[in-house]
Amino acid sequence: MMIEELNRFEVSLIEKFRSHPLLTQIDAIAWHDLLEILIQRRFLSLSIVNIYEFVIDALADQEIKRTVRGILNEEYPRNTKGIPLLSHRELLFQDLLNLGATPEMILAMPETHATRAIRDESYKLMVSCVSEKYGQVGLVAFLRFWAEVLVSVEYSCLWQRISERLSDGQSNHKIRSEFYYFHMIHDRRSSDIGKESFLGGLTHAQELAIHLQKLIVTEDALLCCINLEENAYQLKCQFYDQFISTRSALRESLTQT
Amino acid sequence: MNWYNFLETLCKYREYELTALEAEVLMCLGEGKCQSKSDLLETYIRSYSEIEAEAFTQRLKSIYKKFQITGKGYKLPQLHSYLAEKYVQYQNKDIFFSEIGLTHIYSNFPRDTFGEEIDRVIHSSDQEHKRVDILQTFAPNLNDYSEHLTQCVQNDVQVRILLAWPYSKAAKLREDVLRRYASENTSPEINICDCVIANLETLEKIIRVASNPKLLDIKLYDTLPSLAIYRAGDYMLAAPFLHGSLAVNTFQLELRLYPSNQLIARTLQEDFELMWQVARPFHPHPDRNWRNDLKILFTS
Repeated sequence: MMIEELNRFEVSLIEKFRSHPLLTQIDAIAWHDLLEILIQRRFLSLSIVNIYEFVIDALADQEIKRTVRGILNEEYPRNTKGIPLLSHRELLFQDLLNLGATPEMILAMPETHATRAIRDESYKLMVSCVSEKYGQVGLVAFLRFWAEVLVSVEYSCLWQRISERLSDGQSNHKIRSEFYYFHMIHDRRSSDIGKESFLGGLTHAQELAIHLQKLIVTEDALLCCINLEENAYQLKCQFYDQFISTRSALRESLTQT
Repeated sequence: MNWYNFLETLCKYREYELTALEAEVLMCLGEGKCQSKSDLLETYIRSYSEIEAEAFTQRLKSIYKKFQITGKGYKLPQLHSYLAEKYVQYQNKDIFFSEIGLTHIYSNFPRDTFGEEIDRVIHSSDQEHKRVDILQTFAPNLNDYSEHLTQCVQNDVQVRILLAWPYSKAAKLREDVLRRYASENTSPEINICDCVIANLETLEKIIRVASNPKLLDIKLYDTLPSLAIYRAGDYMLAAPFLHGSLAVNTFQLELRLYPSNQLIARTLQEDFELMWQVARPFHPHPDRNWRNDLKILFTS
């Protein structure tokens, strides 16, 4: 029953997030502005390693640590001879270049106060879990929602525009997206919690969902989980809010549609 | 294995479809000289129960039919000599084995023999035989055949490789089983994900040098096969996935395909084809960041 309640909550939260005005009107944004959003969004991507590291150190359960460590290590893949391959960060940089950004644009763009505040706030939320009774649930819930589920939702909304210039690998005419497309797929919440199939693969969101389900044993644990997911949602909304409230040109282009 | 054990085994052999009552009759046949029909009947009554001579004859007739004893003259001596011949074959471990195409059993994977069989396929002029199939969780011996497989795709041989999708739960389950139960031949730290990716890296190298990479088909599955299969033309090695060891380190059934009795060979081939149908194609193209594609192969 508790898991069903959580599933309903998550579905409605994702719907709410999808209906953020910037994401619903992504088609109306000029390319230059879209690139700025994506470059600013990169600061959150870069911070994900610290989020993962924090959670690994703060978790007590060895099995969950192993899962989280496994996901983190995917950021820095190696071949089986141990030779490092392009990291996910490099692939993000490559996708941005292929979308039309210049290295200068990407490297020199300052992090906005709003983005910085979102990162700080995210970190504080995790710190607050450490002394909480249901902090372990909170950490897994936050990590899963902030760094996987909502990331996939963001990229699937942004994909409408990204796919104008990059392909999912099926097209010979466009360069393949090596970062956005794959994260959109393997981070996503592709089933309700508790409905993961034995066959087929698990996305990152599902890998963490399996642990989350085991941790939610009381109503209080459920409430903690819901609370952290709500917070993750608010933070992600704030990230996109900044482009509406601070940029008049963007605001105008959005309000005209 | 004595004569009576042999008869008992024969009675259970499904191809003959003997009834329980017919099996009783067969069990009365002596090993040495063929009894007369009345002696056989007497043995039967002593060993089992009273029976009318006519009913006994009917049972014998049915047995002749099932063993395809159709020569002219008395059938009982023909049946006896047929069985005696089978018995000799059986003692030579030849009975049934050759019928089902089983030619040998190795204690572990015969590396050189399989290499020679691939060579035979490469040089064969029969297009039907120009195929190599491998079904494995991961193939620990794939590097041994890297050169062979390269030559295959350069010489018109269709190669199909069927491996576990490294991120499947089934692959993880196999890994856990091997880690927990496998003998000293297997590392307790075995990581199937890395092992499959290492196989894909080997195949990537073959694709890089192959003139016609279309002849190298690779598919990955997310289920749990129970046998490893290596096939070159009409030659096949099949080995079970045991708890205690890797398939290459356990006994290998060496089979010739297309024997008179297709029970095993066809079943294995059909199961390979079924797995081939449900598995998903994967191409570790050298110019592509294929590890990302691999990760989402079954999640998209």
